[in-house]
Amino acid sequence: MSKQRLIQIRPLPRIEGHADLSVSLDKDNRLIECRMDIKEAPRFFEDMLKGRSWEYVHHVASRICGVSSVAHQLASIKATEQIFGVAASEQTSLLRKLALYGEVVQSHLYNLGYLVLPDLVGTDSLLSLAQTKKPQALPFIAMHRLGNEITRVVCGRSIHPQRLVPGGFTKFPDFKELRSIRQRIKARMPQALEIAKFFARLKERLPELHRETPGLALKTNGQYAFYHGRLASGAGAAWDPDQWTQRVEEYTTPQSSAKCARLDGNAYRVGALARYNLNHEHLTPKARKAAEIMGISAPLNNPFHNTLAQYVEAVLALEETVILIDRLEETGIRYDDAPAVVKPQAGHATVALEAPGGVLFCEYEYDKEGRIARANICSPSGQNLASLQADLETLAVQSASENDESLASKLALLIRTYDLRLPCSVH
Amino acid sequence: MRDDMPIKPHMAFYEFTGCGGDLLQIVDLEEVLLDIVRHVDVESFRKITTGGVTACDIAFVEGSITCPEDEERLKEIRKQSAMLIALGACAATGGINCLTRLLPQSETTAGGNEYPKPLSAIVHVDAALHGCPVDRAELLRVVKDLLLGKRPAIHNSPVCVECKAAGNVCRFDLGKPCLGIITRGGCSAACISEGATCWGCRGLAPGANLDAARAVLLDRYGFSTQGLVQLASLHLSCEAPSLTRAGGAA
Repeated sequence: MSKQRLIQIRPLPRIEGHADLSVSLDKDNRLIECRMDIKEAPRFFEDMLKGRSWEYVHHVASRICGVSSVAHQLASIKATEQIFGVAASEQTSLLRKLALYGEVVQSHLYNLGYLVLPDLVGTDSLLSLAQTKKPQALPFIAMHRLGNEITRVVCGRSIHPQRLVPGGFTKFPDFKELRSIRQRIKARMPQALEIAKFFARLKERLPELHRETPGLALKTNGQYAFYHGRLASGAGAAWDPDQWTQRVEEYTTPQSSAKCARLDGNAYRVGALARYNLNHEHLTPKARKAAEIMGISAPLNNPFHNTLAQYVEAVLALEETVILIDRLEETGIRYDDAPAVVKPQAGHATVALEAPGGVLFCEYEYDKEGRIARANICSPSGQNLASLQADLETLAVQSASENDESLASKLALLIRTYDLRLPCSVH
Repeated sequence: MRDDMPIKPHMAFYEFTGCGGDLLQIVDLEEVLLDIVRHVDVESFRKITTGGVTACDIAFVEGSITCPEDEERLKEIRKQSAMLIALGACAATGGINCLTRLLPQSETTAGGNEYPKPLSAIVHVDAALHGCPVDRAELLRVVKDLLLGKRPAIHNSPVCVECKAAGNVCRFDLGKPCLGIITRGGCSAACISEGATCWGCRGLAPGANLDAARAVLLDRYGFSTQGLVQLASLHLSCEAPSLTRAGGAA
């Protein structure tokens, strides 16, 4: 019998959801197995949605994920509107984009600040860092708050908001609050670039791991795509969301309650890294500056650099927020912009939207009464699982000669860097 | 309630099945959370720090129970915690997860329609913070009460009380079904004030008269049974199954 090394982390701390990690190596440090067991209990959202009336469908979809409830609501609403032929007003689209940018800031700062940063600075949490080095931790918390505030001002609250409905908004933001948000973003920008310098110094603590993998993200003309666009991957031709079942194949594995996915038969990445690689030419000026400061440029293929791409996107989302508030100020908010009338009809549609964690597909079929006949939701985290598995194996092989503690902490950091939302991936 | 709450109580935060939004509301207290952790010892908060099931004075538990293993873990948490607080709708009432209890059994692979369950179906719960998600202001008030050794006051009156105080036009008069008349308040009627309706996320107000609610909604205001079933199914499938069936009273 050869002696085996077994490294286990159960349960993994500082991730969104429940999972265990176990790695076994033989006496010559050859990898025998590397597995992440996803223990998250499925809630069967596709079944829960069946029979729901269109008025409440997005409120159910919202509960798939607390960190990205706005993205889930928006994808759901877009699908419903497309099927019923509802055209939302320009102001509605603008406010929805604002809500999504707020969530991008909140979600990215949560992942990179609360989950990843503690590993890079050698503490167990951002809260501990705040106790020992308050000036280091506070800017992250302040920026996280700003993201939440944008969403709250636009949507009523930042988790499971109430104002978004098919057709428009049930209530509009107070312009005074939007002005205050804009002023706070502008005041925070110098500090935002200081954080980029901080990351530039921490960058060397990110392990080197290079594995070329296709990325999938939305792309649109003239803008870094979040709210709408066509799907793009590498140099291939862009495709529309309704083709997703021909391109993306979902499958299950014994060690996971989440669905995994392949793109044209291969593992692929979604999220900040993939978006950055496909959209970097549309970075806003300060976001570009942040990328320069951190010394990153496309194409990024080290998955640990997802954290840096997230930070660039958070800065971009704040800048885009200022641009949208400026535009709203020019036209003034129309407080009489009542939600468009919704006339339910039978139909089927698939939409795609960039949730903070990556592209989210939402496919609905409605009956003629406006009730869901069939729903299929493909979340970003599930799409990333195959690529994460390949990266974990590569990292385990590459770092096999390190001691258990060092190897385990690198593997855990990789998982955190991937910005997984297991409740969302399992739904 | 303990009258011997330590000056610096040990606190733990646990999660079961849900969207993670209620513990996220704690994170979303932002700088205020830093003030709280100066007054407590956080023993376990796996979501953002680390820790397993451990002895503590106050445990906040999020999510609903979906399998026998969860039941065992919850019992262990109960044993180790002087006070156990259910955090959010999934923990307090089963929440939106219980929609699956309305499905024919064959549609899910879960262990029948017995699950999901609220925490109180398994263990004694000292207090429940309701809502989907929990309200940050209420959360903060309850944490302060607990640190002062007071039993936290939980709202018992229906949402309508706060809704009237907020000056909202009654949803019924706008032709929209609403569950404010039977739903526990404490949310400042947040959803109605935002132009939505009350969908019952805080669970039933104590003594809620479901038959009367049905009569008011259907007979007096003429809403359809389907409309009521759709609305009540969202958050009350576990607590008020009679409202989630087209057939009528339980």
